Amino acid sequence: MDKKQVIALAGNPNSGKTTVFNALTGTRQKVGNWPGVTVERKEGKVLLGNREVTVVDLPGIYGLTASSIDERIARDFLLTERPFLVAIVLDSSNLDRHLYLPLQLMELGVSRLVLILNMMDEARAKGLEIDVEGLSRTLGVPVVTTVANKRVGIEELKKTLARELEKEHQTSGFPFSYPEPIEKGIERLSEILKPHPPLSSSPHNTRWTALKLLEGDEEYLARVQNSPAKERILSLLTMVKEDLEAELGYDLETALVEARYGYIKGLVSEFVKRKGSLEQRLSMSDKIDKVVTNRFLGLPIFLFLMWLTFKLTFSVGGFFLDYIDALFGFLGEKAALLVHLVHGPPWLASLLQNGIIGGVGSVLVFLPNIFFLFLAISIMEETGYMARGAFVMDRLMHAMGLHGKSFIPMVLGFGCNVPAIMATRTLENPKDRIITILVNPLMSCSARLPIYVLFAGALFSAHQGTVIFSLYFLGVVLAILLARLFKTLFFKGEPAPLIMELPPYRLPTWKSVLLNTWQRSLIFVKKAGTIIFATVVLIWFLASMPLGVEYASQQSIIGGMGTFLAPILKPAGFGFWQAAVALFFGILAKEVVVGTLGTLYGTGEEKLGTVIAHQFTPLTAYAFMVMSLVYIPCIATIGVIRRETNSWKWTAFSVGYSLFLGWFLAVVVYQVGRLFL
Amino acid sequence: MDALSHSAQDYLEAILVLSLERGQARVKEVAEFLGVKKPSVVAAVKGLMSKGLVKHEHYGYLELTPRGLAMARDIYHRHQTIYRFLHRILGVEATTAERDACQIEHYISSKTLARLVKFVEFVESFPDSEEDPKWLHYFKRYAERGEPPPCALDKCPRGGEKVKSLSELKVGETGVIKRVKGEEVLKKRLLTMGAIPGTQVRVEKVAPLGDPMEISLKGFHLSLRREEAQNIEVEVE
Ligand SMILES: Nc1nc2c(ncn2[C@@H]2O[C@H](COP(=O)(O)OP(=O)(O)OP(=O)(O)O)[C@@H](O)[C@H]2O)c(=O)[nH]1
Ligand SMILES: [Mg+2]
Repeated sequence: MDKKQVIALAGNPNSGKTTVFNALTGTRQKVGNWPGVTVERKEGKVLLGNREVTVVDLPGIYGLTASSIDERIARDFLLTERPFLVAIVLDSSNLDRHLYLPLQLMELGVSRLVLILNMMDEARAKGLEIDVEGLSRTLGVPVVTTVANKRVGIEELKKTLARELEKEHQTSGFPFSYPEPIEKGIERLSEILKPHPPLSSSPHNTRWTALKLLEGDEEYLARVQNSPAKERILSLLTMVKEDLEAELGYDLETALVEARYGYIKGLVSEFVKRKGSLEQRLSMSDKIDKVVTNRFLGLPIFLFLMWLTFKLTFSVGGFFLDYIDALFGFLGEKAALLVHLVHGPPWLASLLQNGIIGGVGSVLVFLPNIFFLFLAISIMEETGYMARGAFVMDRLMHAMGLHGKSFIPMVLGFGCNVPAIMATRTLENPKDRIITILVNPLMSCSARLPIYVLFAGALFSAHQGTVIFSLYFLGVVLAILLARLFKTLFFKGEPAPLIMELPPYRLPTWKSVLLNTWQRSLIFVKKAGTIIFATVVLIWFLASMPLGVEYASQQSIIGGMGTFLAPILKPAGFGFWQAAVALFFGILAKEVVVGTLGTLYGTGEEKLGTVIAHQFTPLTAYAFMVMSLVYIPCIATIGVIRRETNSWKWTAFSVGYSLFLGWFLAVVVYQVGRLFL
Repeated sequence: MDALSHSAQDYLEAILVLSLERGQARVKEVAEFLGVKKPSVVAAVKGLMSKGLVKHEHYGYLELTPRGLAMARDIYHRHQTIYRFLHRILGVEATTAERDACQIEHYISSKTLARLVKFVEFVESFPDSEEDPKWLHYFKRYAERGEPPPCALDKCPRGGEKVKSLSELKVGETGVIKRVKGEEVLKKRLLTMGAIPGTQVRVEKVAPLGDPMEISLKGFHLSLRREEAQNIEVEVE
């Protein structure tokens, strides 16, 4: 790839990088108001002038040392891939801190830079006036202002980026230097590094290496370990460090960071003028925060929000359910009728009515529930509650062997376990991360919702809500208990620190919340159109074979499979073959459990519900739901567990424990329940 | 090490310093460095070689063996400690302190030296070691101007009067960061985020279960567990 074709977007977490990325490339990557939304690098294309350029969106970083996986991805990209141009996205209302990263990149000096002062609206609301010209002149890099979520300044940004790509020479040198003694120390160290190419490829790079060594950067120290001159370099380093620290009176690392921030302070006081009233917007955010994370109200509010999410999902979603259901029933009948009218073969009518519309339709019926679930999650994400949730819950999470930051993946797990498991990348401690990954599938994802709604609706009509809530609750409790257990079994050790930025509350635009919700719902629809569709056709086929057999009878191939598996489920009370194959194919995607039953039992949810009410008792239905909740992560989740833990051992463990636990709990529910009912 | 003569120790130290600073040490350079004649260097080096402390690669170039290097570092460290004791703690002016350190390092017993090391470490381990602890401050004034200390030694608070750890602040209180200590990763992260000495921090609130706490600095909010906040020393109004 031509180097000139790559622009990287870097910046502190939550500064709006992805928002800028979306505005530039016209994509809809996920945006949210908490630090750590983006955990992998994403590429997109943008047309600058007449040239198509690749833009890379990166996870957020505060400096050039990384302590978690997402940070490492960003840091490594900037340091080793050396994109030709780095556009740094800064929160203009907080340049005091956001200028640190650009300063580091300037010192590193491998890429051309453009500064994007984003969130200008918030800076203005705070009464800040920024001298963009002056800042640009002093730093020697172009500076653009934007309000990315309103697309303000994006055209100007494109022009600047295009101009910067074309420009012949890199702009002037860098104005910043350290206090005299430190500069001398850098020089002394550079002198000895110079003859060792891996540590110093250019004068600039030598200086950088010297700085990093003085700072005590592990990676650079490790590089020295591989150098033939290791002994000498390390001894001189100790000497220089000792001398400097004796002279400065305190540790060098602090002194270096302090010098940089000192320079930034100078910049800010020169180019940012504070006028007018004090931070109205922030105080608004503070007021909300006072309530939401209040000592006494914090937890009740958290529970209330969870309950509200739940309520919204079921009552409002359920309202639409009957209509859509009727629609599919109608469609199924009409399709069969149509085939009949044109004298099509009867198998085609069966495929359409039983297979496709019966199977896919029985899943799609739940689209409204899923839509509202995602709506609630999107609102939490965009307002800034996520990070507060982590803050409020940290102590509890801590007590049960997790980390405050695990809260975010857990909540995301109610949507889908795949992105939720990806979100664990922000956890610094690998132990915390693996525990969070292992228990995440116990959070009832949206794919399990159709199962709950179907079974609870068929057998617990009066207490439907309570029953479903109990399943979500059971999932959470199991996650907690297992996290505790795994922690004591496999991961003893020190807890990782919780240093997390709490973003200000932001009123999300309806547009972005709805788009976000819509996009995720669309994924559900797509899933129905692809994997669920394919499975359902397969099941229909297996249910119609061998030729001449009665459709979906025990003599069909699938009936045989189910009959073979069913005895295992007998102790759990639902040892009939349909349940066995539904669970078996449900491994592909949990919606398939419902899809399979839909295909086997015929059209539409209404009828499906009736059939189920005949075959199951409330007790066996509950056991079945418990099994569905726990028994195995779906294929996509297994895949992501494998990728994120990078270990077949943990993947196998995750599958193994959940299969056993799911079955075991279902058996316990049934056997114990039988004693009382 | 006791077997090594003073001048042998000086030679070792010289070879260490030279090879670090210039990448190599030659007989000529060692001679210049110590202000002695070349033949004396050659003689001394022979002695060091026979003890397996120095290698004479090819004519003129001297190299420390691993054992020699360890010993030289030790000597250097000893020198530095004594220097710091004289200069930073007693307040002896730099060149005198340097010269005296060269002398003392050869005569001091290892037991006394160990205590001296501990003492220097102790004084330097006081919070905000960029400033002298109060009692030392008073000592220097006494030494220079004969001023008696204003308080009994055990009642003299250290550093500024009101240094606390951030975790001790109550909700709504502000302080100015004096020092960030603690484990490397944690410290680095806090520094990078702008928690550097001189920065004002405020405790905004404490989570419902008493931990973590939310602080604000440089215009943004940060959550921290109390345990982590203990690593931030602040000076309160
Ligand atoms: N007021 C305002 N909000 C913005 C602006 N740009 C982005 N946001 C909001 O800021 C929040 C963070 O935006 P993201 O684009 O997710 O930030 P990011 O830098 O990609 O964050 P990470 O991926 O977590 O590092 C979202 O809630 C956005 O809607 C802006 O110019 N003004
Ligand atoms: Mg992002």
